[in-house]
Amino acid sequence: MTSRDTTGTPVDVDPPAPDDSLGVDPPAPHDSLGGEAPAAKRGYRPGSLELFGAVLLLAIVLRGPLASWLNQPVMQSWSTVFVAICVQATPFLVLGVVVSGAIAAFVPARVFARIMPSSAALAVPVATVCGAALPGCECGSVPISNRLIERGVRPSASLAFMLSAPAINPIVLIATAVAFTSEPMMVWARLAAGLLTAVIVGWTWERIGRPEWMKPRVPVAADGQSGWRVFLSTVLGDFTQAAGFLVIGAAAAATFKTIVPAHIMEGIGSSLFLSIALMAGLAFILALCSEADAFVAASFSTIPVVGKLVFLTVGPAVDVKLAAMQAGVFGRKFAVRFAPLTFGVAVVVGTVVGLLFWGW
Amino acid sequence: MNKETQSIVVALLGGLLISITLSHRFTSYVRPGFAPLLLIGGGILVLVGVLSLVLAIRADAKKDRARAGQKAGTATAVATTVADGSERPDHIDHDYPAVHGHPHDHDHDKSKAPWLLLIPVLVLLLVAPPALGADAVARNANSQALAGVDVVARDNSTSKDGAGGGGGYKFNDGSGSAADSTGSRRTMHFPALPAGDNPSVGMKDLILRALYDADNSVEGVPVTVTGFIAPPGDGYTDGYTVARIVISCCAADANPMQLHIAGDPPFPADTWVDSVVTVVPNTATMDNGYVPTVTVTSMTPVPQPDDPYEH
Repeated sequence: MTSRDTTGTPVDVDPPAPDDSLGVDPPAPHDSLGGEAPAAKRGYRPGSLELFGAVLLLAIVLRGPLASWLNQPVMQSWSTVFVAICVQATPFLVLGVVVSGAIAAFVPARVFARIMPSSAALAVPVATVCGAALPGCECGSVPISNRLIERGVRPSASLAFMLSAPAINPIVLIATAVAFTSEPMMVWARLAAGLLTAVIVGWTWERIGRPEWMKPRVPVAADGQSGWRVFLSTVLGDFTQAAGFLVIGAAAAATFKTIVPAHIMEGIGSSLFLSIALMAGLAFILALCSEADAFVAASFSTIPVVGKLVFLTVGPAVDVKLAAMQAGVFGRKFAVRFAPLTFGVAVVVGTVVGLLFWGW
Repeated sequence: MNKETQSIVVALLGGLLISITLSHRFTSYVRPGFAPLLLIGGGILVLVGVLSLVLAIRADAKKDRARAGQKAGTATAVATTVADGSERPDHIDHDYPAVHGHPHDHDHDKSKAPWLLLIPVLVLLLVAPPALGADAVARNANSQALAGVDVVARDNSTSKDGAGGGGGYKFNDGSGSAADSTGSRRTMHFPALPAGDNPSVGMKDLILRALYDADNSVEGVPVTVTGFIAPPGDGYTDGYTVARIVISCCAADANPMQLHIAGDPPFPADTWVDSVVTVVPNTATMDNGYVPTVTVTSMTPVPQPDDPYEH
């Protein structure tokens, strides 16, 4: 990286390409090499590769103390759950960034302009229903939604898609049907609550959302770059960014799972409102994959069925891991507004739909 | 983190996913059905990492040469180089970033988030957390009543003796109890036990039979279960537990299943054992979280099963 090949024969060619083909952040504008500081004046600054090497070296040297620290029973349970969430979410995140990369590289913005209705009132429900086509869980839909906005899809519609995809896709609905064999209405209740939550949040965002709450989106596709290079650089950039925040969320969820005693559930089932509040809170802090949460909800034996529906409605829409990922992908200003909005709407919709389906 | 390092970390993570899958260590974290997903996801990450690394290194080499060329006296010309023009010289001008004014431009990605990705990579690489054990049982123990009954009811629907098409009682009524409102025990029907002496049954299956079986198929019948030694559950002051953890997707949704045994544990906590046990009727109550007591005929230490969890 820093070698100086003084024998290289310079040949005059075209002007520089407008963007770094591998860059996620665009470099500062520049036209020529005229302003470049001579390399010699830079002095030594450790690059990230050196830092990475140092971290690895440190980890290997400190492996003994690290391992014995992580060997305490509490830390062992914590690290197993932490690794489990990361391992479980990674394939779905990969699916998400591959779709996102394919959109960036191969689907021109005009395609979305053509298929999405121009009015927000229509675009939001259309995007919500499109969510049914993405067979993943919630981590994958965050980068896709970001990419859709970059391609010119209305933010409100993209966000509605992000909320609906993990809640109502076929795999999740089948898992719900399997988990709730004795409560077949649950599938329909979940579908209805998921759709309603996504549409209501989308429409609300259309009214209150401000573009400046989202951090500036990075243009990926520079003209003249071959599609697969854009694809590769989008996949790499989206994955490392989203996965970094997934790690924060997984750590938080593992911490809650380790310190919150499971018996807080007992004795709460008698109060509908208490159980709804508890299930909404649990859905947020446990950060379960939407393909698994139905099994967990079914096993909460003391909780009324409305509480379980709230759990299944809040979980895919917003949880500690998703909030962290949204802060990373869309920016913190966005996440502190969007996460509470989604949480509130999901709790209310889950409760209302549950009461409509099952009564008091 | 720059592109090169990102590529390396991503390839490393992908490689680790593949490696824990092939070595079967992944069953400590997720259910076995995840194997193909992990292999595909890991494979894609390795591919993306390696290809991105190659491209980033090439782009860097190109930049360095151009810079060197600039120093050599052609600074007025905006230059790239054909030093590695042996590959696709016709594309080179479009595909490769030309030199730009940033001496650091491979460092321009200032996001710190990718560094966090190193945490799970290092934890997996250096300490490899084991499957959840006795500590998680003590931590996550919950009422065993009705847990997972829906799944059993579904399994049962194919059996001939199921009461009605659904194969059983509709349990999840919110009471969280093995008894209904009149105090009588709820029941459902289970398939016959496997033939032979001390038939092997799953931990969850055994507990559900002990709690709900209308035909009392495990009453007075010794059966073999596999589990690990754990401390006694809530409501018990003595004895110990043979436990198994049930997961539905990953270890984050762990749900322990326990059998209580009187006396001192013959092995330290977290030892995996095959036990021949007989359920003592009517020992699972609300106060002890519906953990039934069993008497032990024999207990043999065994290696941890390939899949440490039940599903």
